[in-house]
Amino acid sequence: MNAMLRMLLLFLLFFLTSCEKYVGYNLDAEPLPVTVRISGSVRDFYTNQPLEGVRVRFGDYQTSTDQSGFYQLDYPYGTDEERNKPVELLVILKKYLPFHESVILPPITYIRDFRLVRGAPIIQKVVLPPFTTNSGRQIYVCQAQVKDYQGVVDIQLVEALVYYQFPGNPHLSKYRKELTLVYELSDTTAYYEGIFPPFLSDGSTIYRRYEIYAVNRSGLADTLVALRSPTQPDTFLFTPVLDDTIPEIVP
Amino acid sequence: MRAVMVVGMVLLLPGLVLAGNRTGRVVDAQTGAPLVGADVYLQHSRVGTTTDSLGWFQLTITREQWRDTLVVHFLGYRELRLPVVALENQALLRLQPVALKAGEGIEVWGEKQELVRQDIPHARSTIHFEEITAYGSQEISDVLKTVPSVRITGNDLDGRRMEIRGSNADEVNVYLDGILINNLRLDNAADLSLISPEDIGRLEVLKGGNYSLLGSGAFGGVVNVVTRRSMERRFRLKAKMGNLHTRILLGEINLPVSQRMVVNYFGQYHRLSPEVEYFPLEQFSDKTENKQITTERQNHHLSLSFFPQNGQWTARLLSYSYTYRKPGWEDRNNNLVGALSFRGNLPGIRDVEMMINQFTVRDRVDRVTEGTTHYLSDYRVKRVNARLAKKFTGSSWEVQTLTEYFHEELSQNSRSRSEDREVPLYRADVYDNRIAGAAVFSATDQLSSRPGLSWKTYLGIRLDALASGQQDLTHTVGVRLTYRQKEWEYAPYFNFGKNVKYPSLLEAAYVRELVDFSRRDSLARRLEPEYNNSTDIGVRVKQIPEQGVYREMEMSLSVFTRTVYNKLLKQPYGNELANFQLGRNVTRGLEAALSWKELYEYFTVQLAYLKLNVSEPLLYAYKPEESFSAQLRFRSSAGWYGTATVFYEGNSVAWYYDLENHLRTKTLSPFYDMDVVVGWRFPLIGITVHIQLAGYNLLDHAGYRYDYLKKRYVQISLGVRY
Repeated sequence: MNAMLRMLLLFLLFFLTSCEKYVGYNLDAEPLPVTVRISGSVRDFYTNQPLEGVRVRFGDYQTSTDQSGFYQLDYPYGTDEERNKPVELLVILKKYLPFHESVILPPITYIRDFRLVRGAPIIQKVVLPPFTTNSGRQIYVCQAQVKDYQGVVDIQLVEALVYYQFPGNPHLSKYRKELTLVYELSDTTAYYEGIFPPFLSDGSTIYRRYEIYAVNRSGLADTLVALRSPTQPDTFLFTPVLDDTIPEIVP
Repeated sequence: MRAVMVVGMVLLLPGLVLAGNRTGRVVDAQTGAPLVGADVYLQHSRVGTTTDSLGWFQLTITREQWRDTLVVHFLGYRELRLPVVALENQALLRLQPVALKAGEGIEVWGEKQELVRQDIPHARSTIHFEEITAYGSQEISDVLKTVPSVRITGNDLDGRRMEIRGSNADEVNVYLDGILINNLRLDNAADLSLISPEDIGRLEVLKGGNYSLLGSGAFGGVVNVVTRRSMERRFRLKAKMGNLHTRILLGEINLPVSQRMVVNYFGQYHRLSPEVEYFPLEQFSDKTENKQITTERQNHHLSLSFFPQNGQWTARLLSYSYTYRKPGWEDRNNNLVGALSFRGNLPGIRDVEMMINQFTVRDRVDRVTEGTTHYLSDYRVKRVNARLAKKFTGSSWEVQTLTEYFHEELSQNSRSRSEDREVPLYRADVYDNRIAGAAVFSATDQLSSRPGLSWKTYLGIRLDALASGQQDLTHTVGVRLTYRQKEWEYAPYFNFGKNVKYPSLLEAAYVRELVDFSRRDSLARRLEPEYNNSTDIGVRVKQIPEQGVYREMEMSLSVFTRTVYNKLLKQPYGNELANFQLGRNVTRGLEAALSWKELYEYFTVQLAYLKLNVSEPLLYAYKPEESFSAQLRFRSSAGWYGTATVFYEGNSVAWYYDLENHLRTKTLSPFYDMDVVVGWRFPLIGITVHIQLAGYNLLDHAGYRYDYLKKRYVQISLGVRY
């Protein structure tokens, strides 16, 4: 009996000393990954150009792209994400159609590239040269080349805002007028034209500065601010398609 | 022998006997220890009572009853009989222990040696098997709605977690027949799904934050679940069906294989489609719906009990597993508990408890995010716990000692698997060991000039030591007074003490870079334990009227305060989330309960109320400021029964830091709801048939907004018993 007890004690002693696990401790674990690193680039769908300043948003966390179109974000990865909770993803840039999706994030890293579709029209070219009509009147013709990837039919309105100036007065008057579609270069590109008088009824004369505004059915718009050369008149984009309804006096 | 002497002496002085009250105390003849719960009754008039926690009883004796015989009965002792006239006031009745008959040991060793019964006095609520089956629910959260101060939250994935008196779920220790089942997973909270409600014989909730024996780290309280055991041959089968595509099948066999041995098996299969996602951040807001989720749960419990002459050996194997599936995600969780225990007297040593148990949890998740890559995570935890307890008993004092050893280990392994290759992503293996020694001294005293008044004072000390270096000595004091007058019993109590809670393995391993401004380098290397100072003062009043519309009335009231410090606080610090250990919280509260049993013979009414004041809702979020429940039970002699419960939870407030590091407040508005259960039990060709119709959260006021468990649920069940 005594021998057995001794054996048992010896065995116990052996067990305890050999199993450090049952008497010691180890609390060193590599830090648990608590975020997922999300990265990628954003480019234009049509031109493949990198887009800068794009807001990339995952859930409550967001970042924006750099000059080369790259972004990186550390998203805190919680139990919700581990249980495959979809995260709302939103990529936004002005004049581009927003990209929206629900994604289930994998752990550690997630690489995702985006190609954003230009939604707004693009005012490609614009001129405002002087023109003398057959009746001898001098007018200005505003011509614009506008592109919309969604098609010319999508373009809702193209208008020009021309500035007029009193001599010696810093105050400028404005004259806004819609340009009319005159010629479709392709499904997506078209020429627009409008006629402006050299001076207004209040006596102000046409100024160098004018603006073009184009908007499509999605409500997305493009604006271009242009300056006429003081010395060299602009060259026409196309032969003007003149309209007889040139207002003599502008309200 | 002494009883005979008492009888003889009193017979010589019959003239002293007058009508009125008699008090007495029932003790073990060998040790002098009070016998708690002994039956004391008059043989012919069939009136009686049971002894209290100090062994005291009180009887009101009418003129006619003086000719009756007093019987004192307690399992495991020779029955004592004496003429009522022989009963002196404050008589000391000594019962001789006898050799136990087969099966009697079950209750005797359970009652005498349950460690939670030896601890400092606290507020206590108990629910029995009959109430649980009458409630019918598969969710333990429903069953506990009427217990003051208890709240259950959670689901299959997070576990069903219990909060007591506004504590967090990891501050409640849950014991299953003495085995600690607090999980080692995410935090240290116990998952009550491990035990099927139908497998519970008795569930005791001890409320308060200072315990010496089993309450280490239990700032909220201790729950003691005792599974159903008996020596009778029993067979039970039940099927339940409910909305959310619920199907439940459960069965139990209790088989005495010999005079001294009994085998019990309980099994349950439970299927359910929760229809909502369990995303923790959505817990208190609208939830994502998903009809494609299926969950399957299985509980198995096999136990073998053996009763030698002077004790009880129990070996058990308990398993709980669940599978949670939705497209692209699957979780398989397995829990296994194995335990061997002994309670009773060994040759030469009395009142010993020995226990060794192992608890393992394995959780495997397989998920697909995009394409075909699987992300696999395998999580294993193990706890080995060995315990030795011994009670020393004197004539008016007791010392309960306890030594415990804990081994805890955790391994985590995650990898990704594409069609052809596996890439390890993360791996961790950590472990720690702890030993503890505790002792509770208690002494009973009474005033000879005031019969019926007695008190017991307690002093508890506990020493914990961790292999990783931490050591703590904590102590608690307590006193319980008992005063009996006619049909009333008043039992005020008081306790005060300190408790320590060690960081869970996960916390100790991962929360390392602590910001601590009190140090020069401002970075503390390791997490320190959390401490709690709490005090509780309360009273329990019981009335058993001789005549009246009810059999028993019980009232309890307690006021408590709990100060916790060293709470871990995660706060945005610069651009990162920093860990601070500066959290301090004071919880104050008032708890009240009132019940009438056998009101107008057929009814039982139970009312419970809790008022809470949490100083830092940042650390203790969403604890209802007020909660109230009322239950009416009806039970006819023909087997019909019904239960109606209404409950209310007041404002719950949480503080949190938003992404800009501003402290914000979120309040959940109050709600109320109700549960109704009706059922009928009737005998049919030798078996008992049980039909039940139950509806929970019938008004659906909490709905999706509040908690996973608070959805409308209707169920029908059919059971047979032999």
